[in-house]
Amino acid sequence: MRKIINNLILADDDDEDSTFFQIALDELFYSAKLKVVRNGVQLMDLLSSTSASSYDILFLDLNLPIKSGLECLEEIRQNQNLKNLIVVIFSTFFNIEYVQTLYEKGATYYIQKPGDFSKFKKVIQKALVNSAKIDNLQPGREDFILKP
Amino acid sequence: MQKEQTTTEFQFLSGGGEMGKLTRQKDWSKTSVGDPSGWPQSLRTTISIILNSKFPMFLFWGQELVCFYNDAYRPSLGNDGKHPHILGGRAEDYWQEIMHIIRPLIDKVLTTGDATWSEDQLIPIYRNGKMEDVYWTFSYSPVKDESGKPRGVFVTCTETTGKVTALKTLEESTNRFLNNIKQAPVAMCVLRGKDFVVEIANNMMLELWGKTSDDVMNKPLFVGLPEVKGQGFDELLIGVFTTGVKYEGTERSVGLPRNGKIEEKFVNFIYDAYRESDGTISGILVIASDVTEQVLTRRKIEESEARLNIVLDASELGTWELNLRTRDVLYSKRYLKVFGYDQDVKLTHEQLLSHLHPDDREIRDAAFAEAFKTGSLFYESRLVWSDGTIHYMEGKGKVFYDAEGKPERLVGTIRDITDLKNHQRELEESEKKFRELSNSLENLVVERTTQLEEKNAELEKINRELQSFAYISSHDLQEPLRKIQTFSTRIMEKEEANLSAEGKDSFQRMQNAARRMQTLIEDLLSYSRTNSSERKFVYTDLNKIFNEVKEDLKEEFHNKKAVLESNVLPTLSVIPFQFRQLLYNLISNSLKFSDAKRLSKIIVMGELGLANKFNEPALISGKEYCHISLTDNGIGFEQQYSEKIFEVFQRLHGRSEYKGTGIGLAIVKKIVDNHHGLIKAHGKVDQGATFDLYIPTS
Repeated sequence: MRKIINNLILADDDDEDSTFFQIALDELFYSAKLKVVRNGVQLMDLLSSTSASSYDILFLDLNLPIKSGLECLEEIRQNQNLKNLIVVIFSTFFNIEYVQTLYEKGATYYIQKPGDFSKFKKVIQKALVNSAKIDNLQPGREDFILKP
Repeated sequence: MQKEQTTTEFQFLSGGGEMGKLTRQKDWSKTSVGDPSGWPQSLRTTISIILNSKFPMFLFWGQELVCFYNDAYRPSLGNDGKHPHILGGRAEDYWQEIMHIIRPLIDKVLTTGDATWSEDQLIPIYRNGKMEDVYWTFSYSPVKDESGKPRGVFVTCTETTGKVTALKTLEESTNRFLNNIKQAPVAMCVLRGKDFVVEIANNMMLELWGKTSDDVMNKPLFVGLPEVKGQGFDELLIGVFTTGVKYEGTERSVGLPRNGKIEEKFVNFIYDAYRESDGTISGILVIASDVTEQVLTRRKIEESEARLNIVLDASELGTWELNLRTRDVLYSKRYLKVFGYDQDVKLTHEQLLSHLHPDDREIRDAAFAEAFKTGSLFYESRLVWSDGTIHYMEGKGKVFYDAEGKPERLVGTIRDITDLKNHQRELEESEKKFRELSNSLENLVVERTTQLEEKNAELEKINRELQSFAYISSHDLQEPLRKIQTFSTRIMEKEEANLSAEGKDSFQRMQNAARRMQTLIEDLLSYSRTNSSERKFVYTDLNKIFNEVKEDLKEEFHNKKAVLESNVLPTLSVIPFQFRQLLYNLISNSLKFSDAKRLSKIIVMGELGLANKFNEPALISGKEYCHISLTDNGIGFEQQYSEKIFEVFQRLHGRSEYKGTGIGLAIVKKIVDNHHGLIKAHGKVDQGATFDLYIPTS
């Protein structure tokens, strides 16, 4: 069943990455709304608000101030209100072991931020397309890492 | 006077001493014999013989057995008895008490005419105012008249009471003697004759012999007691029997039967000749006593004394005894040795004391004072020998008291403890040295430990710093680098047309440099993580890891048109994420160095087996390993580099030919090390490479 992906959250303290993300969305002609938060606490505040259930997908950087991305992921997956939220890890960091941990913690996809902007766009697109197609919150392990 | 007349009248009545006189004076007319004038010739002759004989004689005459006797007979009648009234009296009137004995004899003589003979016959008679047992040897013979008919009985007799009594006394004393033997408190026996027949033996002797009365009594000694034969006693007995010289044996060993066995006993004994009254030797009197216990006890004492001497000798103890009254001192040779004398010399107590070290005099005196209080002496002091050398001694002793409880003697031992003292000092010194050494060692160890701990802490700090450096690398360095890449791609996308050809080339180079830097950072991070990460072994299906890696590299295989194959891999205890990295790096490595001239093929094979199954000498014999091999048909390498390729930053090719940081295989090596395994590389240029991994299963 195809979902409609409309409301996006980007949790990233990096202004430039946030800008790149918005440009990517624009250039991909996505009309979806993007809400950007700068740290883990802001993110969790947002997700505990009444409007929380209106968000479809979260792009989560791991290196967040105050509260780390992993901590946020754990809280989200324990929260019944957020059981439909797709969480895409969006990090510069790549490590096989860590990737495995994230999969086990319930992340939906893992993206290592590419340097090449065209790839940057492409991998965001892939994430949005795949998320719309996926039936549950997690694909098989072999489809967990998204590459442009 | 009338009587004397009669004497002259009858010649046959002349002489005869007192009895002659009495017979002459007797008025025979009043008796049945009648006046002597009427006596027949045979009577007259007989009377004449009787009165004139010095041998005691008596006559019973006629039917009434009228009694006549002479002076020699008179004592037999005693002083206060029948004499002299019996002269001319009738036998039945005067011999009432013995008629029952003599009447049959008299009748026999009178009827048969034969004489009788009796020896030592007891015929008790009344004399000396009482009945007396009187023994006689006598003969009754007939006195015949002219017609040849016996008319009287002529008695010649001698009283043997004295002899018989002596014999009786002798018999009684013999009995007493035998009785004494029987009841003697020592073993006694009498052996009779040259065969030594056991005539009598008391119970103690039987006991000593280990025999019963039936065994030995009235038998030759060596028949009744054959066990003793041949032990030398027969010769001794014969010696005493022939010479009459008494033999005394002391603590003589003899084997005697006891409970069916021969036991050694010790006896003291006397063999004495048993003499008859005439002095001839008729036997042996044996007196013996069993002294076995005394001998054995003494032997034990002697043995323990001997043992004590051995002990004293071995223990090098000198012994001494001091008489506290006389100050006389007795000592053994060993005692003198302790004082430095090799010769046996006689020294006084004062001379001995002079050897005591002057400084130790107090110690010795105090010890003696203490000994008189407690009864035992103990002290150590120095002795100065005559040659001036100093020796250590140890004295021990015990005080003996007299009946009044006053100290009488001190008996003790002395020992030279110079060697002991020296050893003790050496030991103390060596112990002291050891203690010092051990203290200094301890200090050294403490110091080294502290240094090590400091170094450790320093290393840990460096390690932490390295980790934080790795963290910085991963994020803080990667971020700006990625930004450079992103911005540069944005410029190329939007502004490519505005750049000159040279500008475009420079821009391209800049981007390549940035990409290299990114790879380098990632690899370095990966390498450092291999060092420090938690090593948690998990029993893992290697097929699962293999498939994950295969999936991660799916695209690369697709792009290179390469093939990855494997058999069914074993399950193994590994650090899962590290093992994934290992396979990832190895496969990536093979993929990277694939030969463009042919279809790339990478084969992974796994198997379990004991060390000797694999032709690899570095494996530990008997241990089970998992062998994983990876074979490719890539460009290969020269075998001489098979070790070098595992070193960090080692590259066999230029950067322009094959990208890479030279870290990938170093990580592989490190992971294999973490699994206590072994990795070997075999290469042939232009043909391919094989990597053999051996991971122990436990």
